[in-house]
Amino acid sequence: MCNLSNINAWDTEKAVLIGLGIASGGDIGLNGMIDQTGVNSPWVQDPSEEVWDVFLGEDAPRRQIVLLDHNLEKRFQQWYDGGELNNQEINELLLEIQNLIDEAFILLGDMNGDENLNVLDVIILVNIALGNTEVDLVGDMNQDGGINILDVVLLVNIILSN
Amino acid sequence: MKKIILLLSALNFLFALDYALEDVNDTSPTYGDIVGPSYFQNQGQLVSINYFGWET
Repeated sequence: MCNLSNINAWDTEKAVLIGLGIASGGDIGLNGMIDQTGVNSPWVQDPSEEVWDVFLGEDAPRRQIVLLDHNLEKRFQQWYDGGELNNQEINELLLEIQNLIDEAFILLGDMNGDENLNVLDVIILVNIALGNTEVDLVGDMNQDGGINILDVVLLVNIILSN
Repeated sequence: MKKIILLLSALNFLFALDYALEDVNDTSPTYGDIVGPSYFQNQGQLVSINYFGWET
């Protein structure tokens, strides 16, 4: 399943590699994709090509990678026409994967990055809301694209409810 | 604000991509399960790398 499988170059607790195939070659073709040393990622068949068409478009070329974010939205698509990914392609892909992981696992309101929400985060957020500190959208609790008193109220409510 | 949140939710639904198909790799931990991006999200793996191959 391409030379991505099981290289553990990303946090496999947070991102999963799934192979999708159109089994035109039956079991022989399938084994060529998954029956290889170290390949233990899930592999699914898409004989009707419905998933293929929805994700890639009709008559799309094989060997493509699509990254979905935590909202199941397509954020990256790349066609690899070679037999394997080259180093530049792997590095670019890994960077995209890490960006999506960071985005998915960000703890809103954790202004000091200590993975906890407490009064220290409130102080930093208040300073941002007052314009005393550079804007950090980690504090954008209501995801409206800015920092203001509403975000402070939301953060305080979360802390008090915990 | 409520209307905006509802609109964003609807847009998210429209753009969400998913599938649920049987894992046929017998060396995979989820062999035989019906899997897909949302399946793994429920396991905590929020990001999916979907590799589209063609077996010939």
